[in-house]
Amino acid sequence: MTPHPDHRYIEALKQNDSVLIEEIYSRYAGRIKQLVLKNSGTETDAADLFQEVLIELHRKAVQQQFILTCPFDAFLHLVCRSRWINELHKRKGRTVTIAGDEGFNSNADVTANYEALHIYEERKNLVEEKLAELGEGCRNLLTLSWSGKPLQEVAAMLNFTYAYVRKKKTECMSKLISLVKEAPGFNALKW
Amino acid sequence: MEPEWIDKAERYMNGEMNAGERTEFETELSANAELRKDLELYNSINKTMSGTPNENELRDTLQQMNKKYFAGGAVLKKGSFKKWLAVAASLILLISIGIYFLLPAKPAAEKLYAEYAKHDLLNIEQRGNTTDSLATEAAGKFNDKKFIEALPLLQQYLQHRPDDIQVKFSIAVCYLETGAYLDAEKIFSATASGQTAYAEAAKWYLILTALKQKDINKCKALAKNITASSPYFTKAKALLEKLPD
Repeated sequence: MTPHPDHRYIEALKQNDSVLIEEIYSRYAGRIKQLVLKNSGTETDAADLFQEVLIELHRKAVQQQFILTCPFDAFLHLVCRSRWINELHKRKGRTVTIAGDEGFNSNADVTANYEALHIYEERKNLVEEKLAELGEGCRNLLTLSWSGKPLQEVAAMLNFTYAYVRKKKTECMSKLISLVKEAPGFNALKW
Repeated sequence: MEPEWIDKAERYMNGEMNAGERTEFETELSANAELRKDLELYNSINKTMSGTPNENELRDTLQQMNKKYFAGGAVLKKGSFKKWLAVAASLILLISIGIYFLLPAKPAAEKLYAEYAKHDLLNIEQRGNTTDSLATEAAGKFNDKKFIEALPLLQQYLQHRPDDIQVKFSIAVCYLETGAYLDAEKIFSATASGQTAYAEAAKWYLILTALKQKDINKCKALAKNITASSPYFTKAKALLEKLPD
């Protein structure tokens, strides 16, 4: 798999390279802003969308191997477009069509890169959905444990003993994993 | 996946098992594909939901850029999970402020480790025999950073090819990434004192092993020993400058 020269942007997001990140903004933020503004969104929506997509790319690059093999602009456009459609679908409660795709051709290479990220997003969405089905105690405990704090610290924060928190965490994870595995979309996510 | 099994998996990943338990767990994993899948799922959920070591710094950079390139800036995305995360973050902030004056500042070892621990991709030579599929699966897991799943497969492969230094080195990397520091150090030390092409890399990895354990003094001492002729000299020098006192 040969990286596209634009893979440097993925590396920049991985390393928090502010110079190249500014280049991403100066080159692409305007187009994404136009896409959102033309499709029922505000400038704040556009900023929020742009930021969350870049964070997602950062996570994907840090946590898994992700090699960009297509131009960044077409890839970014496709990711933002798809996310914005989902957001509009949630807001309006119905399927939506979108304008502002002029000049962007999603060839097979772009789609393949998008799919690699999309499956990661879908997995995250499913876990968030199932996390919401757990009790508040489990939700808080798991969320805190994912925040990077050592479990001893989490126990102190919740005013429980370490042993209790540890036991509770395994129980909560067990419930969450069962819910995720039982979800209808689980197999399609090729976990 | 039963809570007892999850506890076992956590202890394994946190390096809390003794040698006997670890071997038993690894044997169980290599013999049971279903367990490997479950472990992968467990690991994947944790990874997907956890932030990265430098995510907060990136968020700061993006917030600055948003102010410059978007009139409205960015707000915390709406959504129940993010709300909980915000609540958790607020709690952490409050407690952090409380303990700030009581505890000394922690060294930025985790951040430095994330910056410097870049592992080469593993490409096991195909030999057209029965170990090929094992090699492919092991390399795939390793390159996907699924170290915990890669480990038993690499160990299985090594049984067929005990002289494969590249695979042995990758096993040590898996040990390092999964917190089995003594096992990692044992392999890196032996490789560093040997005559193979991996000797210099092993010296560098001994530095990373100390860094991951936040043993700053040891890390400095090892980094100072990297000679100018080593391909890792520049990196070691740069790391030395960034290590906290």
